[in-house]
Amino acid sequence: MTRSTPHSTADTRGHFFGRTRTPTGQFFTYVTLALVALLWLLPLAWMLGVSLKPAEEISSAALLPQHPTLHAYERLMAPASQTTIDATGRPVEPTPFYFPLLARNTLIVALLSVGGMVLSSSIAAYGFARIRFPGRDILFAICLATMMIPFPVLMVPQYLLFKQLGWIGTTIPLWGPAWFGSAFNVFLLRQFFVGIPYELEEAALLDGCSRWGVFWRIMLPLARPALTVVALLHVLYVWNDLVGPLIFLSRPETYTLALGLQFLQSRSGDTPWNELMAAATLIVVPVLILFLFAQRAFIRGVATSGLKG
Amino acid sequence: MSLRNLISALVLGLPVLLLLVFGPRGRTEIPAGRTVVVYWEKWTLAEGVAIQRIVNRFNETVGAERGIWVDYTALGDVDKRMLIATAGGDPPDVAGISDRFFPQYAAQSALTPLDALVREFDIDLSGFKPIWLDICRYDDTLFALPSTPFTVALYYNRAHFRAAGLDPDRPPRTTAELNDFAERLTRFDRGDPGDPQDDRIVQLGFTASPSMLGWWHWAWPNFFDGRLWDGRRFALDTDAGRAAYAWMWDYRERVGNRLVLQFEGQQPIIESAQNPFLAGELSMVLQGPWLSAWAARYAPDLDYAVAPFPSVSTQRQHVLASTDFFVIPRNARRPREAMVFLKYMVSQPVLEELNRAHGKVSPFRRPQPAFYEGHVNPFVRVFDEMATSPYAFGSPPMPNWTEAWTETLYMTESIQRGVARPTAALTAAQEKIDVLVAQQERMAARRRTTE
Repeated sequence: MTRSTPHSTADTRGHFFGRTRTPTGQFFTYVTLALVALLWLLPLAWMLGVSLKPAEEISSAALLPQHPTLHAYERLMAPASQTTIDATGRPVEPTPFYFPLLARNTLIVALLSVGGMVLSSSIAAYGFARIRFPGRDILFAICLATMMIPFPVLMVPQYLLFKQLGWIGTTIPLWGPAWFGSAFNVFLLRQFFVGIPYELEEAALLDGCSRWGVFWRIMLPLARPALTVVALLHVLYVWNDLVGPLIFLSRPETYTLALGLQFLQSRSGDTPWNELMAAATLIVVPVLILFLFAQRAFIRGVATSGLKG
Repeated sequence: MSLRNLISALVLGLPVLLLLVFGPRGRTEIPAGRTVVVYWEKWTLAEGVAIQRIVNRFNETVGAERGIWVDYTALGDVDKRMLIATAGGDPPDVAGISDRFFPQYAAQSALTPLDALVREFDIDLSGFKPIWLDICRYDDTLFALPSTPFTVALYYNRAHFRAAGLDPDRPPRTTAELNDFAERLTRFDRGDPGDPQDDRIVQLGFTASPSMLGWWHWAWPNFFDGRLWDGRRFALDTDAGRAAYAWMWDYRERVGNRLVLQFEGQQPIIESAQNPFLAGELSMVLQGPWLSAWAARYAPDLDYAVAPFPSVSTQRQHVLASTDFFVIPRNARRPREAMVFLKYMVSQPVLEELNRAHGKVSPFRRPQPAFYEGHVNPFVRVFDEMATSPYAFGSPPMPNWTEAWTETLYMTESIQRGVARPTAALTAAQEKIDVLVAQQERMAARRRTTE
């Protein structure tokens, strides 16, 4: 096993694109990176700026509001049946985007979906990685091939199936299928399991541990970085999914955040841009917080599962 | 547990837990003993509030008498959602769809024919302007009822007219005049006198570009006395088609297509103060009644007027008309209860109330005086009267209209970008659409055989 010495660490840190960094070089590097970061942040800043503008300022091209207000956020926190009062004291019709309800629905779908996805995909991946059985590789190839089927092809058959099961109009079609795994996640986790030394598993089996015990007590804890990646990617997928809710949900009380956002866009010119941007901000913030806390595990998982390509 | 993990768990977990345990739970309260009519629509915000108000009133009055409860739900992409639900055997009882998908759905047997139901429920349609009912028919069968109709007209900037020496009360009346006026209204910024590359347009007279408010890219041949669908063939490569696209090409060549493309390349947000007509950068535009609502909001001082869009001849006033529809999907569970609701909806006071709230026109021959009072669009009478023209036309009632729509869009863009000359582009598009129509006919014949 090799260990990096303080000297080698300093060496690595002291080079950037193969050249030794001088204080001036360092300065320009950081300035360039900061400018690029600002450029990337500009749409987010614009979104935040518009969300804080009162209705009278929406058409202004200025990035920052002259009279910032949280009115748009207050409206999104008011139930859809409740008329609110605007800055001039005028009653305003309720907004169709009631954030607490939509966030709760999205969280329920995300938690149930992620739980099912992580569990089912890891079980399937372990089987494909470590258990020898006839036709395993063919089955794995078929599993991977399902990734090639576009969703529109499956839409009507799935709709028929869910209708038979009585799931249409509920959130079950959004999380139920996750309990049967997904080809991409199975592939990702299988690659990770394949990389774990056989000796660990053999030692456990020799000590009398069952297959399930090996999976549950040894493989899963070791696969935590890869499981984190699967969980995070799936949370992001569920959080942003528009097509699934659009097709399977038909009651406003079951709508998710991504679907709710659509209802802030008017067809005839009354789109409340400040509310739309406030809603977009509220949708983005939890994802940013999640990534902020999980980024170390996420990057480790990406590096060890081969996802980085 | 480390401090970092504890903080992470608290920051992430606590709000989630609180929201899950104490968060709101939506529910719909439906009075006992009512038959529920499921109604899917696309409208939200102010439009959604207007329809919900009407639905609530129905539920309190006629619905209470007849034991019916209409459950209104706003859905995104309602057209496609309705088709999937119908194919899946679980359609709503009433849906609001747009004219883009109507012929396709009617051809695919996704809609319930309404002629017999209209007679059975004694719904009087004689008060409607003929164009709106024509658009609701496919293959001589009534498959829909009009909900929120509109016509599109020429909006023009009166201040620009004055500045160009034109009479602001005398809009162009023919397509030739339109080109002439547009050329006079176009203003350039000649940057470096020695470098033509430095020129740019600061004010464009008119554009038919789909990215610049010229949304009805397929409609131009109609203003040249053409009609795109004769019941069997999509007639694009015709005298009218060639005249329409030559008209478009000539204007762009005269102004300078490179500069026009540069101007159109701004890609502004249409529903904002950046809208080129509202920003005073575009002098004339073909648009619907909603542009007045945007003007009131984003450019309240704009001096503009509205007139019928010019046709090739003043003798025939071609008018583009469009509407959203009420339909009953095929195999809806409660078509009769749905008809009770639709009878209420298409009664003149109710439908005019809806259209006034939506800023659209009245579908009736003789609108009630109250319809115009307080209407958000100051030019609503112009839009309304245009619908009475005997030359009013809707989108072609052909089964694969969505595909033909896409092909004509590509064709229009290739002409506008100067990639293809009009004659060549028309011939190529005609050939492609002929193939699509033939395919559709074969599929329809197969369907008829299996039925």
